[in-house]
Amino acid sequence: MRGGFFRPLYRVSVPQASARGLISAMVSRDVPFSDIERCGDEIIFHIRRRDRAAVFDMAKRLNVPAKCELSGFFALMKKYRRRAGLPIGALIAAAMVLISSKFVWDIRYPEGTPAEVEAALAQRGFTLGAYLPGLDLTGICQSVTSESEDISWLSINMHGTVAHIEYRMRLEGEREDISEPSNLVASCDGQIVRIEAVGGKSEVKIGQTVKAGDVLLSGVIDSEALGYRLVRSRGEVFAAVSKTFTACCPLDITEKMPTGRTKTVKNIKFFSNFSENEKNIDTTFKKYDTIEKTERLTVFGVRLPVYVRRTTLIEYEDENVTLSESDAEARATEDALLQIEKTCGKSEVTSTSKKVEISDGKVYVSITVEYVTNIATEQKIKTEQK
Amino acid sequence: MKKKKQTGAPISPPTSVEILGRRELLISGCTGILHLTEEKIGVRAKKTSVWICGGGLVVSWAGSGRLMIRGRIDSLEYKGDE
Repeated sequence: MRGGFFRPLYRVSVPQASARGLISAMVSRDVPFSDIERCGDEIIFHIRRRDRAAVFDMAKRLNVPAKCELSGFFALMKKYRRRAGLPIGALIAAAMVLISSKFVWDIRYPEGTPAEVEAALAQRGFTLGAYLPGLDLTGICQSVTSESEDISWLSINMHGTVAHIEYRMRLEGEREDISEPSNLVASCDGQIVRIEAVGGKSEVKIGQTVKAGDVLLSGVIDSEALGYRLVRSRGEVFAAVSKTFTACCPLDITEKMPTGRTKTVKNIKFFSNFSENEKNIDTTFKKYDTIEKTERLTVFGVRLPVYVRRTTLIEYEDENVTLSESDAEARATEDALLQIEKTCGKSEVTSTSKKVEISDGKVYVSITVEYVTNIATEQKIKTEQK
Repeated sequence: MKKKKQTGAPISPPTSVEILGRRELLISGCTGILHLTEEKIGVRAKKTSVWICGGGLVVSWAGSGRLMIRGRIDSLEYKGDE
């Protein structure tokens, strides 16, 4: 027999000196018992409710003074039966669990989900804290997929009160309209390196030099069998391009110097994240930087629909600083490299050259980059509508 | 045919002893307790008696003619004929 908090077991205590006789009698009569423990001069064990009479009968015959009392959950119920607060509290707790199970407590999106998926659901009332019986989940999914241009499929899977969202975005090029005729023209000067034409007729050759605006792929195709046809030119034309990026940094600059005074404000919000217009912070700081951090509370790994935002204001003062020429050059170079990274991206850079000039208290850094990039841009061919 | 309800003591299973490490011992076919202290427990079986010596010995549970003893088991001895 195994004990348990919710089993109606009786706790029997007998003096240690006379315990052996009673336990032996119980073993010989095959009366189950469990959890024997020594407690001072007494031995305590547990028996089933239906064996209570038999054990007392044995104890009486063996002349063993046995004490018996209910244990576990039922003993607690008996003990606190006159306290009305406990059953009321239990009822309130049960009601709260029942009510809270009707709301969305957490929405989990796959990693890298774009904000528009969340916005589309929120627009249709599916947010944290939404009342589940009032929502038509199938209708929401259908509405999102039919009205959104980017989401091709969406599913809301409810696991208890946690919603797991699955979706598929429309693939790029899926709705490519090839009915409108167009040319591909050069966006800048360059020397053609590679042509990857998908639609249209190539008007340039590899090694040829082109200027900005020159037609690279023509949308006008002349064939002997069909005559002139207008098509949409599609493809990529790679050319070696040379471009100079210039950045300057003055020797006398104004820099932010922190005063050491900071202020942290905490905000708590239930069921939804903070919106951008909820940033009314009262401060005496004249100039300050703001560092904002929003966290979602978790208890034992379970994410709660409670958001805590910590906003730290760092006060600063403007201070005039004179940079050395090398420091100014380094800053200007950094700016120029950022411009190059932004423009060239993953393009293949073939050569670079740098030029530094100082004039009017400013350091100018010019970096000339030769790189291979796609220079084709689409230009629609205007046609007369019938 | 009306089935007769069985009365009286259940048929005790044959005596067997199972030991798990030095901490747990299960005896089947018990009919009584001969001795019960923390250092020594004597168990009466059908035709023999089993004596367990050790420290902190305690009868964990009993039922269906079986007895579970927990504690540090140092020795086990059979007395009487099998």
